[in-house]
Amino acid sequence: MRNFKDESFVAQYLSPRLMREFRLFTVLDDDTRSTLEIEAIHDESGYHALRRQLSEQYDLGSREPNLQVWNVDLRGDRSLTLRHFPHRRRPLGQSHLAVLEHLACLWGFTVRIEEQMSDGTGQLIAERKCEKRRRANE
Amino acid sequence: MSAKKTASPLSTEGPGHAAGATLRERPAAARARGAPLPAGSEWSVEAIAAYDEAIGRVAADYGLDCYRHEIEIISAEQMMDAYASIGMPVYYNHWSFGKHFLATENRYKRGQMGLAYEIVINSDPCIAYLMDENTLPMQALVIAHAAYGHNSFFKGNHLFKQWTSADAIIDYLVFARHYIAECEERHGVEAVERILDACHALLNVGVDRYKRSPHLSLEKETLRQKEREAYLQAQVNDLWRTLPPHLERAAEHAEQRFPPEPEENLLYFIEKNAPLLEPWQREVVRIARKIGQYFYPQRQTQVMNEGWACFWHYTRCTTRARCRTASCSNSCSRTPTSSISRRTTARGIRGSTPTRSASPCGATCGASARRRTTRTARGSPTSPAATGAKPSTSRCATSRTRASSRNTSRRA
Repeated sequence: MRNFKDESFVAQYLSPRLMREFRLFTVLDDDTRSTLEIEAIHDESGYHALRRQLSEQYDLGSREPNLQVWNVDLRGDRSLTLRHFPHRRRPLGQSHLAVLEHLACLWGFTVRIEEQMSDGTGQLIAERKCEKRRRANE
Repeated sequence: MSAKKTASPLSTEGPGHAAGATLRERPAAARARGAPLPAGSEWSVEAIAAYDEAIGRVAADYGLDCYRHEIEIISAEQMMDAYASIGMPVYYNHWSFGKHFLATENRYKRGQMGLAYEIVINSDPCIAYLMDENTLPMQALVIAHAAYGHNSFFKGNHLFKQWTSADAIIDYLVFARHYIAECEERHGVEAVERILDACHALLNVGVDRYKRSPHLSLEKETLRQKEREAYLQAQVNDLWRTLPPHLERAAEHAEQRFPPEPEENLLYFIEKNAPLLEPWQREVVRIARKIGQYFYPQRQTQVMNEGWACFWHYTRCTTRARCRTASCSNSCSRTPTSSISRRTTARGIRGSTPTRSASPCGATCGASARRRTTRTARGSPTSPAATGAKPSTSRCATSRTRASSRNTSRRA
């Protein structure tokens, strides 16, 4: 109890007996394939995969998007760039636009989200413009 | 949203704490050692104290390390109130909590959901809120579950040790509440609301995942400030101004990244670096961030925390049953059907009570809705024996409640 959290606890202590009792199995839903695949069931060859899968489901790191502050254009327009590191090609949820709106409200200048591609470059996926330019006659 | 959960506070102390045990000692002393614990399904403050004392003794025998705890009995409405404020006894005001409260209330009134039997707060002393609709055996069960099970988990688990300071959280919440109320007064409700809305949206990406910054004491902080000033003073030298400018170095400077390393905690970054925020706005961001961080370990230990508490309430109750079969079988097994039916006929309001045991989970939801409608009419903190179900039943109903509720607080 002292040294575990959900993911590590499941990974270490989920027993074959319990897996059989719950009749656990894993389903692989891959967006590049047309069919679902049952990867593992509660048998000798599947215990390890089941345990790993279930423990990963409790891992907050894989459940929540990995968003990081990437850059601020200090000497330019002060825009804030976040970078999203996708986990298993999972895209950001639809609500990311609303969240971006809130972020822009706090930051006060343009904010944008990039997605990290496999080659290390960033691809812009959303931007909320927020310009503070004053007109001359104001 | 007002915190009004102080219906009948019943302060007790955990094992090993002699002070303030008056409420508990009285019934314990009145009852000779070995005498049976109070039976029946109606709870009273004395009966709960007696059970608490007995459970505490077993916990001490097992060497369970807990915070001191306080037990408070709350009504269904107060429980929904607590739901809305993620279980915290004091919380700042925000429209979303009221919305959450109304949604819960509507679902509860229509019988679409049952409420938790208790909520427990990770603080020192640990506060356990018990529902006043619970029967006496259920109260004993949830005391064992929450006041000792969850409590010891909060105290022992490394995540809670690392990320939360149980002794300071209530004070901090009180501070936060006052501060935000003050901001609302000074800068208008809407301005504060806009900041809080934004913070709540970013709460999940506003936590430190890997390290906790060490505590800065006031002396250390002033010392750091002074050192900084001294350093700046030491750098002042008019000669530097006469040096010719290094153009290439300036260009290098322009290319420097900010932040030098990516930052995962968005709210922290905003609090420290957002260019346009006023100081009070930064403080509001900080409050939201700190409270979000406080709940972070709870989200990581849902299975373990609940499992640990269930293991202990089961173990403790069966221990009691072994050593004192006659007295404690009451707290561990179903209340005799006869008592249910007797109560039913006596009150003449729930003809269907005995059939409820057939499908415990669904029935609990319906039952609690019915109970709520009759609660005010009775005007006494008694409860019909509808929840005299087995521990397994309560766990079942509980896990559903938990699954459907916000996942940040511990409920049983």
